Amino acid sequence: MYVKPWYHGDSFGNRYAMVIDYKYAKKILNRCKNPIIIAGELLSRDKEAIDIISKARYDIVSTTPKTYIAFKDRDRETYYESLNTLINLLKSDDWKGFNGKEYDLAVFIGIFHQLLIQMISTLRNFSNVITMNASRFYVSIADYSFPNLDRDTWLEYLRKTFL
Amino acid sequence: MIEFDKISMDNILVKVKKIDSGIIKGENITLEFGKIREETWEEKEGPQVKPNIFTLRNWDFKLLSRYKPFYSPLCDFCCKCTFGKCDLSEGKKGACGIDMITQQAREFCLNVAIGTACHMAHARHLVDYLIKKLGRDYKIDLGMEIDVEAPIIRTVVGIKPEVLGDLDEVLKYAEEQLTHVLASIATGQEGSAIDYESKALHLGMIDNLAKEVADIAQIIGFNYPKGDENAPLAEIGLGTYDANKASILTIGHNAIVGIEILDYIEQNNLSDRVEVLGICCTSHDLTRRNSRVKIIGPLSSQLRFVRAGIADVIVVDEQCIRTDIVEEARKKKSFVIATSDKACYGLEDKTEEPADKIIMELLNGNKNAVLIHDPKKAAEVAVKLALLVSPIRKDYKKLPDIKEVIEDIRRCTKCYNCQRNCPVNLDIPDAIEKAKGGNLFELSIIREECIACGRCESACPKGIKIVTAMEKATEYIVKNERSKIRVGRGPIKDTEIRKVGQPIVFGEIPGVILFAGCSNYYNGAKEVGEIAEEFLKRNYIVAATGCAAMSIAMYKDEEGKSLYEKYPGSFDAGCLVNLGSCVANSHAIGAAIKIANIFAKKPLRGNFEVIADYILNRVGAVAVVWGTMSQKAIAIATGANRWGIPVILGPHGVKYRRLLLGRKDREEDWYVYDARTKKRVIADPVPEHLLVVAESKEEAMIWIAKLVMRPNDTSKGRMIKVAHYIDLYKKLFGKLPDDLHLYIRNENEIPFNYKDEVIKILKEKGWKPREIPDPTLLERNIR
Repeated sequence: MYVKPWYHGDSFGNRYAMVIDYKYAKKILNRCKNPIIIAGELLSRDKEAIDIISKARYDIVSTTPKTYIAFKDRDRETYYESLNTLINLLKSDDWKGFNGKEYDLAVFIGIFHQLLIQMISTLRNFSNVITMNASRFYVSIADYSFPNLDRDTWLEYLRKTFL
Repeated sequence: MIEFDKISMDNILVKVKKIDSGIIKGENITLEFGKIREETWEEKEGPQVKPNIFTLRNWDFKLLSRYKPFYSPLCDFCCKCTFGKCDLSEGKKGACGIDMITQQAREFCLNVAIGTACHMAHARHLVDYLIKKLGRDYKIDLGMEIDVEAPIIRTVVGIKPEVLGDLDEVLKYAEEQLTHVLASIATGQEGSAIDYESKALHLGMIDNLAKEVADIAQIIGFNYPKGDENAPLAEIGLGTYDANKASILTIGHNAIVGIEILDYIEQNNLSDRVEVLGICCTSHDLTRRNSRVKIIGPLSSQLRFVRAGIADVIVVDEQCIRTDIVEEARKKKSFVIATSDKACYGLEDKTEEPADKIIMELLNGNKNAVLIHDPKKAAEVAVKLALLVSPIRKDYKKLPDIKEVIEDIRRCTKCYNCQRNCPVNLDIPDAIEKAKGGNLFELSIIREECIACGRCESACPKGIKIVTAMEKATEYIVKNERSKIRVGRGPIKDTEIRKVGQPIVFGEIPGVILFAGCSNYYNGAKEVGEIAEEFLKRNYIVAATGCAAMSIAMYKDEEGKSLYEKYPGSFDAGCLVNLGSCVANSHAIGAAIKIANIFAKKPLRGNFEVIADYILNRVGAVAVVWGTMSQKAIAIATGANRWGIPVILGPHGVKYRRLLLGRKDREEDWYVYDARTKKRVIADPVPEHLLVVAESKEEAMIWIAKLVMRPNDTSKGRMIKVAHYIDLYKKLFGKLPDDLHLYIRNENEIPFNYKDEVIKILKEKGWKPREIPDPTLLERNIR
């Protein structure tokens, strides 16, 4: 299925993320050995979405203070690492992850899209980590991405993927 | 036979009318022999006078081995030559042999080259103009309290500039370096990412040099404040204009024409009839000349103000001008005078025609814009034209009627093209939907985060004037938008450095923060003011330039005071310094160099490495470029990086494609030489990064607190810095940071207020006290 990237400046070349629904997303998550959810600043502004993600059984890393606090308020302890520092670690062969194991899947959510696109670009070009975009809007450079979704459908996707 | 026409002591210029020596035969030959001047600077020359691409390569490699380039490609292709386009993704190489990493480094280097060229061409214009006006021998004198007048020039070029003609010599060197680096970016040249990085750093330093030339030239040539901490306050804001006067709006970075306009108004006693307004750095510089000039605002105010139709005449010079300025002005019957070779807009060149004839043609013809590259004539035309058209433009000096705006936005079909083109992804369709019924409140809310680039409008298939609708939604607020900014003071005085040098190097003043850059913020301009105030309250020294200095001015406290009214303008703890326009941010680098020179007695002349090593290891300075629009911003940042000053970029900065990130978890990356013991030792991982992007304001604050730490901090100084780090972290995260063991070197560095909690963390981490080295990256410093 072809989906036009949400942001009209999102055009990298010949590679387009595979458009996935929640079933496929769940399959990917189940198949990967050590996924990590990377939660950005914008997630802290969305109560319903953060309610859902806070219940996910995977490692979560908050990339901004507000996101960290938003999870903490929901009794969910997360790691904290600045986004570019985290991506720098993820792409490094010698980094073993917060939990002592290498991450093989990075799931992105709640990151300002221009920053998100560039961070995924780094992983896509210079690492073997699989990238999945679980934000509301399709991002072409990821390996896998949700399509462009209205808010209610997106929340439904999140519930069915992460709960 | 040789007949001498003229000999000056500065440059020997021999004009030979006729020569017939048997070997050489000719007429009217000019020979220039450089200069003869008595050397007045006794400092011995160091090894790196006028460094070329090779000279500081080793220094760059040292930096780059610790702070490794982190690339984020903007696209998979290289489309620089006709071999291509070449797809470089998934390990593929281009037809020329280039790979993705090298291509990113090359693109980055090109961006820095463009930014450097802008500052350098600006400097060239100023120097040539002022030499023509004042002569090559015009003295450089920055006043009694500034002996080290040009710390960057002294260090890099190895001269003590005494007259304007010396600045010409500096620029010749800089122009040569730019040419060499630019040539290396051509297809089939450099094949190594690390060497492109070194070249980018080289140009960053050259950019600093050009900016220092530009600002010194205009300070002495136009009589700006010379490091005056009590420089006057000027008005700033979209609502500062006087509706009863004819108005000339200047846009850009080069003040030459603006100054001529001010002079023309003064000479003809017209100041009660016409006023000069400004956007971007030209306005900074015009207020340095005359504090009654009003600053409308930064780059982001351009489309807004032009659409408001207030300006009778718009005079544009160079840099940061909307390229559709002529078209936008035409809609409001404003006239445009282009004045620079950098931005001619396809306009007819009227420079040779009499001023009155140009005015008549503009008034009677169907064109609203001309090119006049004679500053005096451009000034005369601008003033006369503004006075003539102001009374007949009254109907255009307003936004459209509310009914007209709502009628326009009712055509919206909610196709989302506006949002999908918005650099900050504003929910414009939702705000427009709500406004269709007449409630513009949501539009007024999203305006706070809008950077007024107008991409939404050009993407709208219906051509709805979205930016205009947002302005209408906030019309009342905007009309009253007024604040105060301290006029750019220029350099930091030697006397100030003597006072703060030691506390900065020992860490007792926790840090120096420079805010620079553009105004395309990701979450509104107020964040710059909020960050600045947080650190002013904490007694950091805060300096600002360009659009960032303006954004800080627009941020007011609860009593309605701007930070410039609240905090003194000295270079001291808890003070807020507006250095001036973008070229004036060279003085922030200059201040760091002066600390090495005046406080630590490090020789400057041809000693770049020694000075940069000192700054990296001892001067707790950091720059914040929260808005990152042009290539100039990354040239500025790259220059700071080569001197060892870390830079924090706002989220848009990621599109420069390259960061310089350290790894605090890799001990071996943090070696230094201990000059006392002569041993190679592992120091603490500070500053952690050289170029990093922060995703949010709060994250930037954490970075600032960390990136001002230096290996040389005394225990007292480190304790103060760590206390601020903990305090901020606790405020933002509700807990203590878990990397404290990396920054606390002995028990004296544990902040008293957090002692028990910190000791607990240190025990958990297996922390042990360690020595504080006398740090240097240079082996020659320990010999």
